Amino acid sequence: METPEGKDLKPKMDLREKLAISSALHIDRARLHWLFSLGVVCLVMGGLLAIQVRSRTPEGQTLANRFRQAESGPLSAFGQIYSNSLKQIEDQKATIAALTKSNDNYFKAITQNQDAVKPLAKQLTDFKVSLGLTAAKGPGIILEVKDSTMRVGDNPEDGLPEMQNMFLIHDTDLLQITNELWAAGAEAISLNGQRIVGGTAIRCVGPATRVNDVVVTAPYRFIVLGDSASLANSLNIQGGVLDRLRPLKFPITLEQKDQLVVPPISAAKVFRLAKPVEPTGEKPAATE
Amino acid sequence: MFLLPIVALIIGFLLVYNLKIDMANYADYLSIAILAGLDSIAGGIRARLEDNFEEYVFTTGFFVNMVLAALLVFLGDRMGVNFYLAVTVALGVRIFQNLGRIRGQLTARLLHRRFVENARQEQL
Repeated sequence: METPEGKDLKPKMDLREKLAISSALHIDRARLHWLFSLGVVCLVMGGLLAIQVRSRTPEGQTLANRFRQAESGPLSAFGQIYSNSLKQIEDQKATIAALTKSNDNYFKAITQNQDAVKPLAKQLTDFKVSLGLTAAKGPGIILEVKDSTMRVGDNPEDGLPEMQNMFLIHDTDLLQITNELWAAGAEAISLNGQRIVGGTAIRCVGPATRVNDVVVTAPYRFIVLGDSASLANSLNIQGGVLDRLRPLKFPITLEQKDQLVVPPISAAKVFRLAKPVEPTGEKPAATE
Repeated sequence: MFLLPIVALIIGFLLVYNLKIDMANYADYLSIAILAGLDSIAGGIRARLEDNFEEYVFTTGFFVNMVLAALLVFLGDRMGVNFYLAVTVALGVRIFQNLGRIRGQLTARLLHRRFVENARQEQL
């Protein structure tokens, strides 16, 4: 296959004459012709390329179809993720529909069978209050305790600087107060907005105290629901918790209120290991 | 104006692509024909830059080369000789040679233009 273009078939003079004429006419005719024939050739070339590209890519792999049925090719991974996500959405829609339906059924049962369900609902609400899952309201007391106003440095005779620790409210004080409150018949307690429930730990961490794993600092403000008079009396009992704090000049305020609100716990306890024991009639075997 | 061949290429591609012609059975011959066509185009541009371009030679060369290349491969298939590879190598080498000479011409022109400009500035 020789290159026919490479051969110089016409003398160069001819081209130069042409150029001279065309430049006189302000049209570069030689160049025009060159581009024109090249354009025609390129048109054919494009068509051939298209046929080749078309033949090389099966119908399933054309760009328009790739996203829909991508089982091979560079986009297959994305295509699979996409179709999987679609499937998941469909599944979840079905789940939602089923749950909505069962919810409707429950609601129907409740409305039809109110007498049977009412005690259960009451029980459930009580459980929720005792677990701290809902906010509770009622009469009670507000108790606020602050760190002592005494400063060791004021008078050298008072003691060493390390003894300032004595004049701070500690986790043990808070625990004693809480214990006293429960003993006096408190029904719901919150400390600085943290509901105190069965699993609540009150623990000193550095300069602050953690309640329900949330940092609280002085002043410590208890909101307690219960019989306000007996709560106040038991706290103020001689030799009681507050009696021991007062001589050290801890500012304490105690108010009795008719209407108080205790907030719910922010997160219910998650049981990972503890499992309920099915009531089988026999006593559960003691385990070590 | 220089965009004409490129535009023509794209138009041709789109026109035929939408026709959905399937020639998967002749893909080998078609690919060789395309290679020969590319060689002809590169040769044409090179000839133009070297001032010995001739339209008729170019256009006939384009088509005839393509048909011949495809025929050669077809013949090779009939005879049991793998001409496909031979033609591919030969055309590939030629395309690269043509492209190299095009590059040479273009750079030479660019350098020449700069040289002329520099000389002019020096004169002024």
